[in-house]
Amino acid sequence: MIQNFLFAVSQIFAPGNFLLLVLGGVGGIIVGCLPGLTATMALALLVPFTFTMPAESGLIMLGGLYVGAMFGDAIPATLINTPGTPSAIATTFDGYPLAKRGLAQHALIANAFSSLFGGIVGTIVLLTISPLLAELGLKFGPPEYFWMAIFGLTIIGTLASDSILKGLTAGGLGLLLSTVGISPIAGDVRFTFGVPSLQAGIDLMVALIGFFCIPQVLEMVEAGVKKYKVIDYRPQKGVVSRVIKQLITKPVLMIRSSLLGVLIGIIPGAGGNIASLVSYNEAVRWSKHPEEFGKGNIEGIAATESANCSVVQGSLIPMLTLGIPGSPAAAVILGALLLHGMRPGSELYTTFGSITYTFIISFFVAVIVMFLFTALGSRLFAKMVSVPLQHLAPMVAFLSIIGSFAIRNSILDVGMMLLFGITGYVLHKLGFQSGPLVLGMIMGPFAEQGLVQSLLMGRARGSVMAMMFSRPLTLVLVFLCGISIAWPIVMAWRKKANLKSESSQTLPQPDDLRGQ
Amino acid sequence: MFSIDTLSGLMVLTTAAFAWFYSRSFTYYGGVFVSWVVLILFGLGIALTAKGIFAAKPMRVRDGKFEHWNVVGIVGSLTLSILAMPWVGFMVTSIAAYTCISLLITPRSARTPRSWLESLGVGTVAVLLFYGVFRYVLLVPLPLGALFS
Repeated sequence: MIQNFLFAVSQIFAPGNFLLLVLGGVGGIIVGCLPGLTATMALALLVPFTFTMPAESGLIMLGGLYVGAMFGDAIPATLINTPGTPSAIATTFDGYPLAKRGLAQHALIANAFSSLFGGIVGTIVLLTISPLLAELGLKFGPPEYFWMAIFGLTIIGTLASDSILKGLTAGGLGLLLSTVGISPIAGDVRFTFGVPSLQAGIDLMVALIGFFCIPQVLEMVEAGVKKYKVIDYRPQKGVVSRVIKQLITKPVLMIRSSLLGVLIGIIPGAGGNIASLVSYNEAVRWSKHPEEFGKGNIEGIAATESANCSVVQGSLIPMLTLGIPGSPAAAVILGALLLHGMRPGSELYTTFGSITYTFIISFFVAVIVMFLFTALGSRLFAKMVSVPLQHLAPMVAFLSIIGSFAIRNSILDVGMMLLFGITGYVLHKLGFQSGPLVLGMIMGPFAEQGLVQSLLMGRARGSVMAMMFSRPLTLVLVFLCGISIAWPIVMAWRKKANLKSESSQTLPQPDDLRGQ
Repeated sequence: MFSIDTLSGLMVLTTAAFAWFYSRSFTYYGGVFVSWVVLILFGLGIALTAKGIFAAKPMRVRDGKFEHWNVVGIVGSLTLSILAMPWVGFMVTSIAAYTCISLLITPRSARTPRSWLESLGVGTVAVLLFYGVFRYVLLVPLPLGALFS
C-alpha cells in the first residue's frame, strides 16, 4: 500500500503527467462551461487520445477532465442561469439569484470551494471503501456475477429513465448488442451478418462515442443558436477568504452533502443531477431558515456543488470493484480501463495496484488544481459560453469520427459509430436513454458468462436451480433485483393513488352542486 | 397516429423477432443467453405496445422544419464523408464535412461569403491540427485515400 502510494505521488507529480492532469482539468472546465456538452461526451472523445499513453497517464488525464467538468458546470449555472451539465441544475436555484444580487464572485468561490470539499471527501471514501469492496468481489462466483449484472441493469433501468419499461427495454437492447460476435464459451458466431470485423464484437468505445456524442450534436443543432447574457463582475479582494470562512463554519452541511453525493454516485444510473437535487432538498429540510433558499443562499450552493463533485468518486466505486459503472461517465472510464487490458475487480488493487492508486490519488491533486483554476479564473472561463454553435457542433462530430477511427484504425468502426449515433438520437426521441443501453452492453458479457458457467456448474452438480438461487449472496442479489424493479412501480402507484384521492377531494360534491 | 409508446413497443418487438429468427441456429450454450434476452424483450415490447394503446399519448412532433432538415443534412454530410474516406482520405472528407455542418447550422440570414470562408478556415485549421496530433504524436495512421496514396 505505502509502495503504491509513493509510486502514485511520483507519477502524478512527474511533469508530463501533471501537465496532462492540468490539460484534462482545464478541458473539463471548458466543457462544463458550455451548455449542451456533457462530461460523458468529453470523456468519450478524450479516450482515443489517451489509449496510446501509459495507462496511468491516460487515467490521470481522464480523471482530471471528469473533475474539471464538475467544477466548470457551475459557472454557467451561476452566470447565465443555465447549467453547463445536467449535474449543475440545482446550482441555478441559488447561484444565479446570488449573482443577480451583485455577488457573482461569492457564488463562484462557493461553487469552487464546495466542489473541492466534495471532491476530497469523495476521494477519501473511494480510497478506503473500494479495496474492501474489491475483496468482497473475490467471493463472487458465476451465479453472483450473473445476478450482479442483472441487479445493475434493473437499477439503472428504473432510475435512469422516466419510464421504467423504457429503461429496462434499453438495458435489454444493450444486452442484445453485447451478444454480437463469437459467444464466450460455445464459440457460436452471432449476428455478424458475414462481416468478419464483427466477430470480435462491437467495440465498446465506438458504441460509447456513437451513443453519447452524435445524439448530442444533433440535439444541439435542433435547439439552435442561443445567445446568453452573462452576468459580469469585478473580482474583489478578500472575497475568497470570506466565503471559505463562511463555508467552513458549516461542516455538517458540507459533510452531509458530500456523503450524499458519494452514496448516490454508487447507485448506478442515479448520477450528479439526482445527487445535487437530493442534497439541496436535504439542506432545505435541515435548515433553520428554509425560506432563504432559492433567493441566493450560499448554503444552497454548497449543498449542491459538494454533492455534485463527490458523485464523481462515488460512481467509480462500483465500477472499479465490481465492473458496474455508477454513471455514464464512469462507463466511459471503464471502457478506457478495458482498452488498457485492466479488468475491474480485485486485480485492479493487486496486479494493477500502482496504476489504480495513482488514478485514485490523482483526484486529490485534481480537485485542488481545479479549485485554484475556477476560483481565480471563472470570469475568463465564463467567456467560453459564447463559443458559436457553428463551430462547436462540427468540432464534436469531427472528433467523434477521428476518435472512433483511432481505436482500431477501422473505417467500419466509424460507420458503426454513426449508426449508433443515429440510433441513439431516434431512441432519445422515443423516450429511451443511452445510459441503460450502454450499461447493458457493458454488463452483457459478465451476465452471459455468469449464466452459462452457472448452467454448466449446476448441471454437473445435479441442480441448476440450486446453483442459481440457493447461495446466500445470490439470494441477496435476487432480492435486490426484485426490490429495484418493484420499488419504483409501488412508488408510482402510490403517487397515482394520492393524486386520485386529492383530485376527488377537490372536485365539487353533489351536495355542493345542489346548493348552487 | 401511433403513440410514442406503441411505436417503441412495435420497434422492440421487431428487433426481438429479428434476433429470435437469427438465433435459431445457435447451439444451446451459444444461444441460451440470447434466448432469455429475446424473451424479455418480447415481454417488454408487448407491455410497451399495450401501454401505448391503452394509455395513448400523442406523439410529439417538434415544430420548426428548419432544424429537422439540418439534422438530416448533418447525418447526410457525415455519411457521405465516411463513405468517401477510403478514396479521398481523412483530410479532404473531414474539412468538407466540417464546413458543411458549420454552414448548415449557421442561420440562413447569416450565410454570407464571409461565413463560408470562416467555416472553411476554422475547419481546415482544426482538421490539420488534429491530423498532426494523431499522425505524428499518437502515431495513429489516418487514411490518406486511395486516390492520393
